[in-house]
Amino acid sequence: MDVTSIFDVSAAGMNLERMRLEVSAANLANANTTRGADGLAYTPQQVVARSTAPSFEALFQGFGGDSLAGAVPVGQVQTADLAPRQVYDPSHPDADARGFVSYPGVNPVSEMVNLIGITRAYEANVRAFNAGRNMLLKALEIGSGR
Amino acid sequence: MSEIAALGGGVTEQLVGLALDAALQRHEAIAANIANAEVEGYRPLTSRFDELVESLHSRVTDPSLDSSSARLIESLRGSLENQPWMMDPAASRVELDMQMANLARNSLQYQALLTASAKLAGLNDLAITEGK
Repeated sequence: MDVTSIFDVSAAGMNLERMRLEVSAANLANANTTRGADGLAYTPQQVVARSTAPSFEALFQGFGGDSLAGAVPVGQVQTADLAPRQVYDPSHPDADARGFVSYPGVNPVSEMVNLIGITRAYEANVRAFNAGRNMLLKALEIGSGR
Repeated sequence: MSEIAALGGGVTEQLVGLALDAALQRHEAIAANIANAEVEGYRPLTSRFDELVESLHSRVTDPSLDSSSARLIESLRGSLENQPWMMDPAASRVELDMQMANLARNSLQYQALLTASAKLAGLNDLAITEGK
């Protein structure tokens, strides 16, 4: 296994967590958006993480101990299936015939909990990255008599 | 003559020197990316060295092609000096954490190369001092 693939895996993890943070921030920012570019209320988004499907080559190399080749996460932004929040406000310009306004079904509590998880996961990736870096730096000292 | 060449100008030493240059160029690319992170429409740069080494490797392993190492290194150096950077095909905008990750990896590679060249010089030193 190529030593620098440690960095690739951790960097992909950091990338994914940043994407989750961007989506959470967009959800929170648009929690009260009643009309988007398409005229409808903002639809909450979520990130679905998948491991990249290992190629034939990666699987083949897996027999030699390189089984991390397919373990790089890739995030995909998808629409979260959350029912809109109905608020009775007849004077609102976006109210429907019955006087209800559809707000996006963003749940601030779960978004805040997500934020905590994202921060910690990002930190964990940085720790893993730094640990790999320190190990490789230590390996450079082999035979140097220090 | 070949003994003198083996002391300082061997293929390994030349390649290590070239790789050190490439690490510096990669550092320049990362620095430029970080400096221009907030510039609208800026496309991140990356060093072409890895791509060039890849082509070097395929030329060395393909027996049908001319594989004189001196000529290969010369061509590598030439193309490195002509067009050291290219647009990063993997990124359309600058992500600061990815640049920092590349920076850490690059500095680690630089240290590894320096350690390797110090060890190479140590071997020559051993030969000069007759192993004392």
